[in-house]
Amino acid sequence: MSEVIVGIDLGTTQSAVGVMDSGFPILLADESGSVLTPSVVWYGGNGEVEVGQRALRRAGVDRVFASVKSLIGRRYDELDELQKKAVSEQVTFSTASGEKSPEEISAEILKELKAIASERLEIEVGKAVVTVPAYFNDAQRAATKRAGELAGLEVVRIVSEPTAAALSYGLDRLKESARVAVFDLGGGTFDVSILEMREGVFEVVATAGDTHLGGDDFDELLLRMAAKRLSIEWEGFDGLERARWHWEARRVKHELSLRDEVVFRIPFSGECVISRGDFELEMSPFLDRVEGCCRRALVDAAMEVSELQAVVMVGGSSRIPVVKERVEAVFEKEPDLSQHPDEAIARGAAIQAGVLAGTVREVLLLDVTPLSLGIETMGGLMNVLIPRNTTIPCKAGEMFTNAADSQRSMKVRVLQGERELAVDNWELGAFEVEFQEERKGKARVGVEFRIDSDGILSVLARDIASAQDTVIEVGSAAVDVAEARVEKMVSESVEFAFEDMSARVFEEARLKAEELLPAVEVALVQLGGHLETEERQVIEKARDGVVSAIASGNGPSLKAAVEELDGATETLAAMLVDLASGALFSDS
Amino acid sequence: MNDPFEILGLSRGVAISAERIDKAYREASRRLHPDSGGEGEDFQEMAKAADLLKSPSRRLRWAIESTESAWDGRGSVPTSVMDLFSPVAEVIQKVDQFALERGNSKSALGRAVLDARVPELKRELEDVLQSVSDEEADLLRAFEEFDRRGWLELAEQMGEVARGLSFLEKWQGEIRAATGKLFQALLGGI
Repeated sequence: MSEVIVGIDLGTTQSAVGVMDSGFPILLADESGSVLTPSVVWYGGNGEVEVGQRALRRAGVDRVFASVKSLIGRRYDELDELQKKAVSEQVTFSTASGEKSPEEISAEILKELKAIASERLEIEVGKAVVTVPAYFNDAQRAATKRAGELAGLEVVRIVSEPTAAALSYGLDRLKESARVAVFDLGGGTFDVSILEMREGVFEVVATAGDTHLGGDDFDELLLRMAAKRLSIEWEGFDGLERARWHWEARRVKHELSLRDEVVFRIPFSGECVISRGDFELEMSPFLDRVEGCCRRALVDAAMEVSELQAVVMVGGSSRIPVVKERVEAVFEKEPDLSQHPDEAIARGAAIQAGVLAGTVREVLLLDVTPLSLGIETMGGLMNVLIPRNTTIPCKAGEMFTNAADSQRSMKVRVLQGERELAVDNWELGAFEVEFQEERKGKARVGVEFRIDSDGILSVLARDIASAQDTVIEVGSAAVDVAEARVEKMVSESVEFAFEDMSARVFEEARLKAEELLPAVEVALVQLGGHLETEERQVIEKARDGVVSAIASGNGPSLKAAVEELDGATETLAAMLVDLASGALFSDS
Repeated sequence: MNDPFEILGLSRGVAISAERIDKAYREASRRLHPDSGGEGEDFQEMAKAADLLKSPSRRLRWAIESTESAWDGRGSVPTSVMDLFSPVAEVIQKVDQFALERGNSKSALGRAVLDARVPELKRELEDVLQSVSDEEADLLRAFEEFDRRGWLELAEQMGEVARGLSFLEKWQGEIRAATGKLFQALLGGI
């Protein structure tokens, strides 16, 4: 018998573990019969730990740790304000059992899944394939692997979640040839991947995504909507109160997928009705971001939607009707809902585990690296060495030479991302290339960048003279947090210094006026005929107000006039947007 | 580089369809990918060979160099390709300008007026991409003759076509990137 490798979906809100059984991926249930384990951990004062449903029952009464996946492998300076409130500057949570990192908390979830699998399979499970969002970068993937090690699991492969879902979809379609898009909107992350499946070879062609977009954002949205209606300042909530509102928001979100109106109810705080229409309206900025990723994946794959045979939807948030509608509009076909939204990824992980264990021979997965890898060049630009969507494993070499006679070393910053400027990309770390003492341009060191099958980077330096390879430690770009904070304070204080200067106010308002005034003329010519006379008069009056305020040179009064014109032209802007989006997508 | 045709088990010939290369790549992956028992190094060499073959300009360039004829990256380019230079540059510049203005825009109306230009820009991008693809198809028609009459004899002509194709491939990438930029400016995200 070959060794057993399990497949694990370590999700933002819930996790699952599966294994291949007589050629089929099955999920393993805990003692209560559930195959889904909430990704929630509770720590007691005496070192006790509870995970999953048991921990979840304490939510709202005691502090529990949920959605830590959104923090794994991330640095403090990258977090948003809300996330910063929850952790220390070392990105750890303070628990009743001491400071815990996101990796350690994730490890508790993995231990629980390992225990469930070992119990069901009646063997000690030691190896796993673990899924991560396709758009996870090097640090997030490496941190996930470390979490596995902490849980006593050898993570034999990191697989992208949408790819895993594609395996689950494709397993009983191995004879078919198809191009499919997998749309995976989970609890905290969004990915879209385009794959080609032929004769059992699953080739990822392009992938795009957003690691901070998912169901948790929609909960937050509902929480804000309800707090606003009840005139409650939610910013002041303490941890437990926030948690209570969050669980209620989640319940309301689920209900809204089934009916048109739901009551949002917090005992002793009040209740209000939220309609599906209102929720959908607030969702539209998120849906735009989702659509942006989908379109970029299509552009990257150089494919038209008509070339895709199916768009497979997975992830809990694909249950939301307005999400389905948007997917259908973008891909111009009815989404394929044949995969269980919460279980498909774990099944796919189990299939890949079977491939690696040698029990599944008909499937081969060719995955890609989601982000371009490069180094910073002189002038602060990003020089791409491995473009995004390159099949992994892969490698690229770069030659470094000394720029001066005395130069003995050179610092190289390693970057991941798609932006032209180095600073706009994620810095993976930096390393020093050491030179022999040579004349300028004579010392040469070749550096090889390798991305392995897990999507994780390693760097090798080769001394050209001796042909010796050395592994380079890419130092974590540990930003000195204190320093970063000082910098922020300095920039803030400069900003405040300007704040009360009318000149600055005037300048800002003037810039906006300069954009608005010609825009008003264009819009009136295009759409003036559709406006009521009164509406038109209001706009023209506001416009004249701006013109005379510019002449006055007074900052605050120009600011007010511009704000009025901005408000008066809201309908006009909305009409233009409707017109443009109608024309944009009707022909394609 | 070693013979990419040989690595992929294909007979030598630049007139080969993308489908043939894909099929050979999949079959070779089955043999060489580490997950099906192969060596990582072999797989990567094969993947690089497949990448080279998938690009008509690089395929042609490899063919020229295999005859030990000199390859000159700066030589002449077919006029039909040069004619496309300004239309491509123009539309890409327009999109860059749009993305810049959209990014700096401060009011809803200002954005809406800009966005009203998007359908037009998208059409222009599609049109110019079509012209580039048509031109590429035109140039690819000569490949069979290259194989028939021999690479050594036609090396000079092949060089011109290869340079033309490398421009076209570069432009296709740029036009796609511009399309992506357009959507990104419009929809945010990423």
